[in-house]
Amino acid sequence: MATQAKYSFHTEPFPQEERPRRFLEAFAAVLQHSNYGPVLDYYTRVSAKCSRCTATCPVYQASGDPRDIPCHRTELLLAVYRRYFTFSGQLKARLYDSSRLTDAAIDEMAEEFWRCTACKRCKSSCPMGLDHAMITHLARWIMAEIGIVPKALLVSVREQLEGRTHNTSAIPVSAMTDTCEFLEEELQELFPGHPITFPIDVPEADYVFFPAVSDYLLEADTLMGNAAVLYAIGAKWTIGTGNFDGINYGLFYSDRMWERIIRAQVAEIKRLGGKVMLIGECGHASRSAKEGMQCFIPPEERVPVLNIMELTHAAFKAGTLRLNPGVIAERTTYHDPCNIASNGWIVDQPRELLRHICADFVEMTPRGTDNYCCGGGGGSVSIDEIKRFRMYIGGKTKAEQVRATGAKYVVTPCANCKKQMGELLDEHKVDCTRIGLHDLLLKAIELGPLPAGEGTTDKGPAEQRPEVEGA
Amino acid sequence: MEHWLHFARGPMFVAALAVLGLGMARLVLLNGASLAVMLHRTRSHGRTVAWKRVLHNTFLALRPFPASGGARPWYSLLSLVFHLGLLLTPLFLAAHIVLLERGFGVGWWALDPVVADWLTLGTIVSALGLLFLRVGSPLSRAISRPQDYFLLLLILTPFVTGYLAMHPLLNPWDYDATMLVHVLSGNLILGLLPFTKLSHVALLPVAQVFGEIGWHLRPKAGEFVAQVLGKENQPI
Repeated sequence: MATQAKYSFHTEPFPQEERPRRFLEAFAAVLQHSNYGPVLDYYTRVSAKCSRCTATCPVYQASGDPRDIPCHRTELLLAVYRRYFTFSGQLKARLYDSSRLTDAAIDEMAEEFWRCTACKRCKSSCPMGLDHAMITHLARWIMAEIGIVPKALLVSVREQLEGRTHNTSAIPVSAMTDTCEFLEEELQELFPGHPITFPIDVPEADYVFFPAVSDYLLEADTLMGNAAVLYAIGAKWTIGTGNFDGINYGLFYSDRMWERIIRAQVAEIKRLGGKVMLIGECGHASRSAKEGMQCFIPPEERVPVLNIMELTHAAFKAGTLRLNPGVIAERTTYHDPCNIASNGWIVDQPRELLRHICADFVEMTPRGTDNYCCGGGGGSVSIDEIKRFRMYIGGKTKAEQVRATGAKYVVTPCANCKKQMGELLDEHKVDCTRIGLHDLLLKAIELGPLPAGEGTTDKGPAEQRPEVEGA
Repeated sequence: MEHWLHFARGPMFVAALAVLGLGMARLVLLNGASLAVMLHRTRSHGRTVAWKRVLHNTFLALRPFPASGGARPWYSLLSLVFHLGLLLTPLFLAAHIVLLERGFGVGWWALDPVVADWLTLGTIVSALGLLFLRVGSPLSRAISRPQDYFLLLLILTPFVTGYLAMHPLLNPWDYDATMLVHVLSGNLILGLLPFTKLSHVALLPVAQVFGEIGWHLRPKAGEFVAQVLGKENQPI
């Protein structure tokens, strides 16, 4: 029954009997009700095994282990599909019993699919256009249905969906509001006279704010920067006490959980009558919300999803947000979180802000859509027991990239990347601090004259709502 | 020998073409139907497909040398030469067109024989290079299946025999025997096209469409899966 030390990550005890049969049942159920079948059918046909993906996979480049070749990993699942779900596979199996799914094969999948950081770099180098990250995504879901899922992620999702606090860090509402009050006092000291608040449960707000909930515990400056910007542009925003966590680990291991989490988040927006889902500095939260909204929510209930960097950038371009140029004297660089950069969604917006406020902004190579993962992607950052893997395989290239820039700050606008980057810079002794984008904006923001009737209004200096593309 | 050659060039070639045509039609229909169903599902859920991005990604994927750099440059170069020869030589070789005109009454523009010669040599050299890269690199060996070697050798065969047939002075074997191997291997390639990874000839243009719509996850899929697996009321 128990399998505590079977994999490099911890799982809860799960049944060991007839695993191949249960894996295939889960696989069949997923194929029946999803769109993955035709994709697998296509991929099993054209996969060329050319290994060109090795040139882009950061995990393979650091480990040199053939099992980390994206195409090799993908083949583990394609082989099962071919054998059990295609006509030729079944025919071959009747003629000569070929490659029956075994316990060992499932163990191999469990280990390999959790060594992928889901950064999607390999997609750009596959001449056949295979999306290996999609296969990793699917394989993890199937495995999760038979109990193979890192305990760290499972426990978080359980608390978020079935726990009392409805968030992954199990922060009670009172602790969240206390934090906000404390941050409001801090902001009072930074910007005397400006009533910068964290509005709680305000109905009919334009923006309902969902940061990665860990920001309330760890990223005070990011949150203060968020609040200051939203105040400066006069945004009507709120934090809902029913659900204030943007994290969605369903993206990493189960479409079933992804859907349940996004539904819970949208329900909170509906309860408050909010208009836009505003995500904090978090890559996977942004992508899981934006894609999840389109995938799982009926058209009439959908609301636009914005990452706060988009909003900040739009306000800056529109002139409603004033930032003092060149305030950050130290050399600064920018890390692209895969989930918002690899599809080209948020690449230039934060850079434009940084070029304005930093005296010495430098780039890493490669960057943007071709960026290197921090090494903690795909949920791996939450799994403490694989820290060595994250430090010396997943994140090795990133550490060297940061070192090469000689930067003092690496702007890392993602809760996952922030945790990984902090540990990575420590471990590799890189003399650089990882920091959020809004932490720096907090130092550059120009709030102008005090509002009339100081302290009695919650309106900021600007009334206009900035236009954001795609909102 | 001559009868065999006649048979291979005549009825057998027609049969291979028929297998190719029907097999490809089947693939196109099956994949087309899959895409149509997926598109219908996605539309009925009020979603649109980002066709511009799909098209953009399709062209990006076709670049022989991706901008992300270092993507196995030798492999990319060899693959490019290989594919050029593979596409142009069989279709535009003067001798092939003469045969087609004789058999089917259709013909088209032919390559200059010297160019065709160089393309053939290029294909042979690049195929050997690709084979060398596959065998020589432990990582490629680790993920190769038997068909990956077999197809490469199979494709090499008509090019080598074709070149020898066109240059009798270099050919140590009987012309007819060389030609028979040439035609038989060519026919085999045509017949195998729809059933192996070579089917990318027809399927490649829609690779990115699958990549895009595959991520259009279906609402309630999770609920149904939980029902099928009998865990709809189970705690997480």
